[in-house]
Amino acid sequence: MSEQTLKSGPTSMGGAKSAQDLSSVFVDKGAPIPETYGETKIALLPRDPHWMYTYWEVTDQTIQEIKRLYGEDIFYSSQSTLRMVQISDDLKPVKTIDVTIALDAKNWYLNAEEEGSSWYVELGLKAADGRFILIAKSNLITLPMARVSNSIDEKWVSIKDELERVLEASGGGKVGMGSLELARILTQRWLTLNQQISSWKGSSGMSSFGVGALELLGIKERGFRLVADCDLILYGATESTATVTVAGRPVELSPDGTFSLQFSLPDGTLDLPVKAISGDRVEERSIHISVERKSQYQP
Amino acid sequence: MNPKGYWCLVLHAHLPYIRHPEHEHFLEEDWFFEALTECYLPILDFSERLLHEKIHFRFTIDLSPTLTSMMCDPLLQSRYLRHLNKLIELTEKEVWRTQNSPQFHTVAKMYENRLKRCRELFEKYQNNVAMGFKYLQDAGVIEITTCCATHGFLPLMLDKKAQAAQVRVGVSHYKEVFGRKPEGIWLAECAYTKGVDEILKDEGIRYFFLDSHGILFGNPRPKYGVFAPVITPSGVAAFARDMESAQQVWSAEKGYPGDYSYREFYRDIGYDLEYNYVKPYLHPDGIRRNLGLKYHRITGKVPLENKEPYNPDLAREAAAEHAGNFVFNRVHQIEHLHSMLGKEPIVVSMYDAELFGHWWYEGPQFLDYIFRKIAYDQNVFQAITPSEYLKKHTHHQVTQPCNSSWGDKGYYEVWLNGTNDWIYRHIHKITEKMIILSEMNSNGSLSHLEYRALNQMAREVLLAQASDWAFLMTAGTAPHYSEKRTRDHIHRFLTLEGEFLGHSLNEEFVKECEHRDNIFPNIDYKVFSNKG
Repeated sequence: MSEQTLKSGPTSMGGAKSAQDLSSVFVDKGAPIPETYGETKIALLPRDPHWMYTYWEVTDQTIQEIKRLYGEDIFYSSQSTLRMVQISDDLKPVKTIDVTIALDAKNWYLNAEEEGSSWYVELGLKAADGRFILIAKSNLITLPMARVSNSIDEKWVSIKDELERVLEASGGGKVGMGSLELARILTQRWLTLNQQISSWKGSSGMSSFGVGALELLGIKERGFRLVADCDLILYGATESTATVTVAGRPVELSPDGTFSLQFSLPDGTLDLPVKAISGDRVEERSIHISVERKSQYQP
Repeated sequence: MNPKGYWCLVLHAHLPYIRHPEHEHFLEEDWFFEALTECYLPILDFSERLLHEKIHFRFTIDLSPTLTSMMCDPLLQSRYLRHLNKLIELTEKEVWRTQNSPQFHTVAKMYENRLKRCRELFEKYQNNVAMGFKYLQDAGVIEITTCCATHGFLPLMLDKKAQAAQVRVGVSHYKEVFGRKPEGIWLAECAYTKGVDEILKDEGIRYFFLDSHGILFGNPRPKYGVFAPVITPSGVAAFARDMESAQQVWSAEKGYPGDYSYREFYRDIGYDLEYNYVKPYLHPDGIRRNLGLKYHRITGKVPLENKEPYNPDLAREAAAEHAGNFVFNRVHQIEHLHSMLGKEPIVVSMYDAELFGHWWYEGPQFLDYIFRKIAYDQNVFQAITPSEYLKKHTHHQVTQPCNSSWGDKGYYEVWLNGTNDWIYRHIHKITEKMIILSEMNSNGSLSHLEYRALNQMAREVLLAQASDWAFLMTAGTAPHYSEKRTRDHIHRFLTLEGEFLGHSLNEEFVKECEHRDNIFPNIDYKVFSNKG
């Protein structure tokens, strides 16, 4: 929509030109502020139905304390990790996802498959023996929904057809866009975003870099259940000056030339031609990866 | 005859608090002056006329506490008068300069008349435009809602007490200015997260606004879509935006503001005329900028130099025609909805107030015509305010709204992305410190200076929380200024806090901060704790 362009209006009065003009004359970026606050802490914020943002600070004191408890080389022998913990409505953990990070990055964007889900994150070290050493635990957040709710209030159960029509009209039959369609578009946008090659970066790397094993905790409800799913992680490395495309789409490289992408993997075949062109555009290498997923369900 | 439905126009009028007494001229203060001249005063002007002509009209306007504070501020008032008088002086010269070219002369005369009308209105309300809107509200024709104190973006705050402080200060400021409590609130950027409605309930607010998907994606599904308010679990009503009427105005392609007869925003005499002629009206740095006098119409998809002269009569006809089309579409929309829903729908059209007049110069005329046409040309629907609607209709569906905003993509990304995410660790930290200070100092054994310092810290936190800074960083329109403001308020807070805790408060510094960041003179820092 053009909305944001228009919305920037009142705050950009005077036009972009004036801002540039001003910058060439005098730039006041404000008073100094601290980089750290001397407190070991991690915070989590929702960005949209599928993404959240986390930032953290770990003090020297905490680092010394961990070294004292777990050994001087613990930060070398273990993996700095963000453990995403999804919880249910009754606050029980549903699953955890470990994301390998660099402690110095101090912030990260994290992807969540399920919109409307609730999460907190734990910042910690994953030791070689699998132990998780907790450094800090974040606040709890719930991501927004991205589609029309399946829940229909009992009082209204008889009006389903009518509801469809109401939803269809809630937004613009006359400009060719009913709200159901609008709702679909909004939903689609997030589904697409979720499946797309993700180029979102934390301040120092792919946000989904190194997503580890998906760990399903027992879901204790009545009956016996089995839930299993899988995603595809594609990773690689080349020269940092090279241009890389995966399935024809450009991929952003980390400063060290590595890249990593996560795809949802539905049943069927997924072709992922990976192509790298050297910085001087003289050399070209490609690898064609083809993946087939076949799920068989037995009662 | 009873109407078949209702149309609820909501204008969101907001600017960040920009006031720099330390500089004689400050570029960003112009945003406020331009908005007064082009938007707020023209809206006030046509509303007064409708009222005096006894034409039924209703709209809801959110005057954000930062904007209202600027309207009430004597320094900015006197600076606006200085700005306006210079502009009037320039239009007088323009009337003389254009006397031999009739097309431009008409336009110059139009500017002269309109600017003088602005001055007249401004002085009529003793230089305080907020009092003009108060007059309309007291007359029962418009409804003014409040907003978060400094347009703080509530879903990105970690502590509910911080969200509550934004709402509480917005409410108490409203009472001071408008002499009654607010019925409704505009959440900054319509940004909602579960639980905010509980705060609104505690502050006695009866309704707020959401973007369409805020209700459409609610749980359970809303029976009437966006055409009836829902009641949140805490008992506050939420109205949602109608997309059809939004797009008619907003859409860059099909929207009304792109009509070829309308005034072209980007051809301005600040750039077009001889430098020495315009120089006295530019800022002291002498850099060419828009002065607000524009003589050309959009014309078509042609380069700026091929724009044709502006014709105020043609533009007025276009505004009337668009208003007719808008009303016609509402008639059909509302008749259709009425037959489908079996009850009177409410169609809520929400826009930034600054669209009308600044970007779309003829916007206020368009609104004026809409109300006249609603009153005279049809009897299918009526303009209404949310409060009036809630009085007429008491039975509503209970739904938990969806966390959302009205920004690009519908959620929080505009205010949380790679350009601005760095601010949150600082803002969260000073907010947390403020909450602790407020709770630790709840039973006043403080010196007068300590008390002032705590109140000033509360102001600095609120100003740092303004969503505008993050927005401007994303938009890239004023990145240095928005960074400066974020840093300055954090710095002032931390300095005051350090001195407060170290019992080494420097009165001069407290005074300096009070002088610069003088918003909310009657704030009580205890709004940051539950005892506030």
